[in-house]
Amino acid sequence: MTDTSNLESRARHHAQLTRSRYAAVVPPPVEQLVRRPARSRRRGTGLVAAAAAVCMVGVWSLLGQPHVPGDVAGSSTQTEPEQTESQHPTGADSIQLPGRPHTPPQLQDGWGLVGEYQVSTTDEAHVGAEDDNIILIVTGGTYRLSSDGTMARVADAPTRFPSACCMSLQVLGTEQGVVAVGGHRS
Amino acid sequence: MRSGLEVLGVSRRAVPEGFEEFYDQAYGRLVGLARVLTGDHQVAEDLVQDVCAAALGRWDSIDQSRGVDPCCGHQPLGFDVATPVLRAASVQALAASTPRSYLLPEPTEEFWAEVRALPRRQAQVLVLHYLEDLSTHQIASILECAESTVRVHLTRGRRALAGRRELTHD
Repeated sequence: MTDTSNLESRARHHAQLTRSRYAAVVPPPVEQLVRRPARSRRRGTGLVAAAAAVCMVGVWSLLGQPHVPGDVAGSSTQTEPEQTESQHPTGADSIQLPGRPHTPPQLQDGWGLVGEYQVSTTDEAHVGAEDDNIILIVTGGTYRLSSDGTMARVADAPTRFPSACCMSLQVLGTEQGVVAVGGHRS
Repeated sequence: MRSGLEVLGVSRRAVPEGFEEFYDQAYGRLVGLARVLTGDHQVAEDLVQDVCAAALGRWDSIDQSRGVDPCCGHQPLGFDVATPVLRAASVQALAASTPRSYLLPEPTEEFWAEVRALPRRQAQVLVLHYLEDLSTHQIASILECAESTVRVHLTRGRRALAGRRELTHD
């Protein structure tokens, strides 16, 4: 017969410890939730989900560009975004799009983009998944996007998209050394 | 100078009354709940933000339909919020690759890992019972099952957990 009495005290102890630790977790600004679309289907991995949370503000900032200089959608040429002081992609303040209307561009189904893109000198890549859409923000180095759904940093190990069944990719815009790439999963 | 969020057209007017207070109070607890169920802090935060965003979208119905006072200290969680956290967490538990040691000391981390190793329903019941200190009646409401079912899961979960700990620690 298993004795559960000792378990009770230990469980209560661990629960109390967990509660006290997590009471100190500071929530992100509530405004961030307003811009966060609810997910009806979650297919990304935990890592992807976490990355999506981190970069969501930056993603939507970039998606809000109705027209962006250097947009190479539909071609396989290189872009060389301007170097600026603020290049971190994860915060709205670092993106700074004063006065720009928020008009998300339409993504095109079945439309592929293969090419090489040179961006600024920092070394970060963020991948997010929102329902069937795949969003990337990349900074630093030169990246090669392939039609099989892989994104390789040139002279570096490839970074896979969260889903191997990604069929269409499109560069949505560049801003301050950040390239946003969006696509649909098939 | 406008903030980045204001530039994006997000204003505080979009946040309904009462939500922010609930959000501030419940966020850490929900993250803790999702954290022990998934074993991954970042996944937990992401889940809770998803759930809070969904709750924000239908805040009026949550506040009125079930009579949940989201700001009441005696109410452990808004049930409408806790349920999707639990459901999503059980899915995410499969996707979370490597559990991270985030904030919790090792013995506590080990304890929750043992809970997560139990059958999914037993783990959920134990977490709600111990971490949220809920009654079997409240757990049954959240998990949408009979109270007797909760008691069975609780008994079996405790027994299994105690058995495992005897094997590994004695």
